[in-house]
Amino acid sequence: MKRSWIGLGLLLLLLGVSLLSAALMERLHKPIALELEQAARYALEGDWTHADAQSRLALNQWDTWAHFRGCLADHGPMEEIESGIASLKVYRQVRDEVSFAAGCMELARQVEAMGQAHGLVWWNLF
Amino acid sequence: MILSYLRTLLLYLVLILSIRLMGKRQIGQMEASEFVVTMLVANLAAIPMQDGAIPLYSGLVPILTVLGMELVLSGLILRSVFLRRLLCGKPVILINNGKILTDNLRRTRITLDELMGHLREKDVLDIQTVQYAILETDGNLSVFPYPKYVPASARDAGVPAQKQHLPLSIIQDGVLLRENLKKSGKDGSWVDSILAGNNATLSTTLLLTIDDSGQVTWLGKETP
Repeated sequence: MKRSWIGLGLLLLLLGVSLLSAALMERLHKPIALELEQAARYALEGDWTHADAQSRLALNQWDTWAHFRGCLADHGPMEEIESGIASLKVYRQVRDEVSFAAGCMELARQVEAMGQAHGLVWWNLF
Repeated sequence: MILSYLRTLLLYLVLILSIRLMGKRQIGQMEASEFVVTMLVANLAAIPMQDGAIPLYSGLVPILTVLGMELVLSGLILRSVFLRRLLCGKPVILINNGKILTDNLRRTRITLDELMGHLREKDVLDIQTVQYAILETDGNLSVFPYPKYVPASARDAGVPAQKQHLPLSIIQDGVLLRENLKKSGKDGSWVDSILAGNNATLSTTLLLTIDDSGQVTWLGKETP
């Protein structure tokens, strides 16, 4: 019976860690996606200062949790986002508002998807 | 490449630990669920081993979850007859008092050819010599011939059987097993005397055993 208790403890530990990581992944990525969307809106309105600031905020947050994300997320989608960020930096530098806005929206969707992929929703089971 | 190497090492250790925790069974003695779990765990470990882009937890979490379930279920199976029946099934009699139960053969989807094959594996050529044949839950067939076909034992022959003694290993492959030495009631000086009697040392000794009748067996390592 000792092994059964070990098994039960293991299952509960895994459940706890999984729930925590699912909650964290969603909580970390949603704000980044919202900030990128806001940056896109600012860019389309012509408010370059706010667009720039908002995008930097989003990308700083993305960098802050890079190691945690690296442990949990598939590296393929992460690399796609990283290459999107590199393009965004170029658009920001040359002040190409349309490309910058499109890049922000695309990144926002990708970042949001990454967070949702770990979320505890029934459709993720399938 | 170094990451692939390290991930493989880690997953291998986790696999070994998991199999060890699940308990000792040889492949031929596993229940169906145990066999499935073993194959599943091995395949789960292979996924992150092969693909470095997949996070390590993709293999570790399923393996540990399967291990946890297996440990919990094995404990519940010990306590619950209902669960035992549900997960392991029950033994099925295929031959009862010499009569082949064809309904049970059909139910277990075993053909007569397969039954004859199982009997041959148990060194039974003539099916008429079998009184009982039982298909166990792990898929093995237990065969019980009629008493007149069972080889005579010492008791049947009226021969007083020699008492059996279980040997205890004291030295294995040059390593002194202190726990067993203590159990045998002997000490280091006794070991030294045995080794001296065989012109040997600890490092040249392959096996030293003693049983409860005091019978000592010493085997030396092959000299190159």
